Amino acid sequence: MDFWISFANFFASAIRLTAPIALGTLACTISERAGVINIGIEGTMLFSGFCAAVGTYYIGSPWVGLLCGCMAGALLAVILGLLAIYCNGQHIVIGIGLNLFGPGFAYMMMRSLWDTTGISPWIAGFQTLTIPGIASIPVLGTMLSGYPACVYLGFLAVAIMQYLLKKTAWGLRVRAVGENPAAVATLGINVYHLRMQAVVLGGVFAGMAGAVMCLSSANVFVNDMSAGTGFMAFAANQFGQWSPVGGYFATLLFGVMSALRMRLQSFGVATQLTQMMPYLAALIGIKLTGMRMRAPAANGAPYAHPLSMPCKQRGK
Amino acid sequence: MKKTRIRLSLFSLVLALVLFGLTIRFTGREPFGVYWSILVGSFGSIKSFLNVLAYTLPLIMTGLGAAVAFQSGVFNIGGEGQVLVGGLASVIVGLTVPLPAPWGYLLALLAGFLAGAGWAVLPTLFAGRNLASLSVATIMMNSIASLLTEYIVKTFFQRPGASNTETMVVNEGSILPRFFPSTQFNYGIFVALICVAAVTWMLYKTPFGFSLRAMGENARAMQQAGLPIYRRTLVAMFISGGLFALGGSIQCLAVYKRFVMGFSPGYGWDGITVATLAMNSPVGVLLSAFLFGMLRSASISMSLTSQVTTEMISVLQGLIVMLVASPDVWNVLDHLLQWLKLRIGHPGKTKGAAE
Repeated sequence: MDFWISFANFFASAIRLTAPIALGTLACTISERAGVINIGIEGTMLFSGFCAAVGTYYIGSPWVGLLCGCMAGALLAVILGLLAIYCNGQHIVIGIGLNLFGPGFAYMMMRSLWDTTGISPWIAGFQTLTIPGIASIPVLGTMLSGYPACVYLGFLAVAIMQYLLKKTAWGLRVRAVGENPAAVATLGINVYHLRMQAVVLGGVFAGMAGAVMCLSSANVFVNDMSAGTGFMAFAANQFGQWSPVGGYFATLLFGVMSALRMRLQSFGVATQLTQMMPYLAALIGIKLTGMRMRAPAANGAPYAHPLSMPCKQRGK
Repeated sequence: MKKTRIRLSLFSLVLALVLFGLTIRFTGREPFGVYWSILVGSFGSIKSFLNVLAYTLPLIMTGLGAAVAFQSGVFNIGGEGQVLVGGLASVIVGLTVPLPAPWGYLLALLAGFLAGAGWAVLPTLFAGRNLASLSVATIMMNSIASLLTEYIVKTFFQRPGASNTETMVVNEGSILPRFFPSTQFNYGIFVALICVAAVTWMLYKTPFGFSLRAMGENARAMQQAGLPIYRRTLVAMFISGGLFALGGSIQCLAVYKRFVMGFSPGYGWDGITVATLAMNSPVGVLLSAFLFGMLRSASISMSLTSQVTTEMISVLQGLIVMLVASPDVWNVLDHLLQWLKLRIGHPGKTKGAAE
C-alpha cells in the first residue's frame, strides 16, 4: 500500500508538471498539422504568462488572467501567421523572432507597470479542485483529484482537439493543408485563411500554457520562468507523431522525467545532471522515432497559389 | 535580384525601427531620445566606438556560423550551446596547457572550434537533415550544453572563493591580447576577418562551397545528382558549429579571461538574427553584426541610466528578424494600400483618406 501511495503522489506531481507543456505541445501540433512550424512557443508562453499575471493582478480573478493569456497567445500567433503564411516568411526564423520579442516586450512592460525587473507581485492563482466522490478513494483520489482547475481544462483541450482534428470536416481540411496545400486549394478552400485559423487556435493554446504555468502553482510571474518548456513542447509534438493525444503522452514522459529528477536529487546526484535527463530523453526519442516519423509533408514550406495569392508575385 | 534583396532587407530594417519606436512610445519612453542615445553611446567617443567593435566580434563569428548553416539549408539553431561549449573548451585548454603567447591562444581557439563543431555534429547524428527534427535536436543540445558546462565548471574548475560559477584566469600565453588595455577591443578582430574571408572564399570560389549552396537551394535535386547529402550536412554543421564556438572562445579568452557561467547574453540566437539581416552573406554579416553590436553595447553601457535596456534590444532584434525573414511584407503592404485606395475611392490621397 505504501508503494501505491507514493506512486500516486509521484503520478500527481508528474501530471502537474506536465500541464503547461501539454498545452504547448497541443499548440505545436495544431499549427504543424496545418503546415506552419511554430518554434515561438517558448516566447509566447512567457509573454502570455505575463499577460495572465497582469490580468489576474488588476482584476483579481484567475479566469480573467487565463483569458488575457489566451488573447496574448493569439496575438503573437497572428503575428506569426501574417508573416509566415501571407508574407512567405521562414517559419523557424520568425519563431526565433517571437522568442526574442515576446519575453522582451513582457519584461519591458513589467518595468513600466510594476517597476521591477525579475519578479512580479504575488497574484491569486487557481484553487485546487477536489472532485467530491473520487477524492475519498485512497490511491485513485490522489491521482485524479486535487489539481488546479486549469489542469482539467488542459485534459479537456486535448480531447476536444483530438476530436476536432480527426472527426470534423475542418480538421480534415487542416490536416490536408499540411500535407498538400495545392490539393486543398483546388477544392476552392482558401489555404491562407485555413492555415491562419489553425495557427491562431494554436496560439490560444500556447497562451493558455503560459497562463497555466503562471497561475496553477507558482502564482507569480518570474523572468524566464518557462525555462525551456516551450522547446520541450516542440520536441514532444514530434514524439507524439503530430497527434494531440500522442503529444499528451509524450509530454507525460517528460513530466515523469521531471518528477523523477526531484526524487533523484534527494539521493545526492548533481542537480545539473538530473536536470539534463528530459533533454537527453528527447534526443534519444528523436533518434528512435526518426525511423518511422511521418511529418506533415508541407510542414514549414511556404505556399504560393497563383489564384488565391493575397499579394503580387514575388520579385516583381 | 541581389539588389532587390538588399533593398528589401533595408526596408524591413526601417519598418522594424518604426514599429520599435511605437512600442517604446507605448511603454512611455521617448523613441527619438532612445535612438539618439544609442547613436551617441556608439559614436560619442573613440573609446565607446572601440567598445562597440568589441561587442561586434562575437556577433560576427556567430553570424558567420548561422550564415554557413542557412546557406547550406541546415537549420542549426543550437548556436547558444555551441558558444558555451566552445568557450569552455578554450578556457580548459588555456588553463591546462602552458604555452607562450601566439601558440597558447591559437591552440585554445582551435580547441574551441573543434568542441563547438563536435557539439553541432552530435545532434545531426541523432536527427539527420529533417528540418523539424534537427531544430529540436539542436535546441535540446542548447539546454544540455548550459547544464553540462555548469556541472564541469562546478566540479572541476571552480575558482575557490568566487560567489558565482567561474573558473580561474587562464594562463598568460592563452589570453587573447587587447589593443588598448582600457577597451575590450581585441585581437579577435583578426580571427573574425580571417574567418569572413575564408568563408567567403569557401562558399563562392570552391566546388565544395558551391555544392553546399546548391544543397541549400534544392537538396532533393542535389541528391538526384549524386551529392552525398548526409555527409555534406554533417560537414556544414561542423563548420557552422565551429564558427559559433569561436564567438564564445574570443569572448572568454579576451574579455573575461576565464569562463563565467552566463557570459553569453544569447550570442547564439543573436547570430541567427545577424545572418538573417545580412541575407546570409558573409560580408553582409560584418555590417549587420556591427549594427547589433551597437545595440548590445548600448544596452550594456546604458542600462545603468535605464535609458536603453536589454529587453528593449531583444524586442528590436525580434522585430528585425521577423520582418527581414518575410520577403513579401512589402508586397502585402502594397496590396493593402491598393485595397484601401479602391475601398475609399480617393487614389493618391490614401493617407488623408485613411484617417
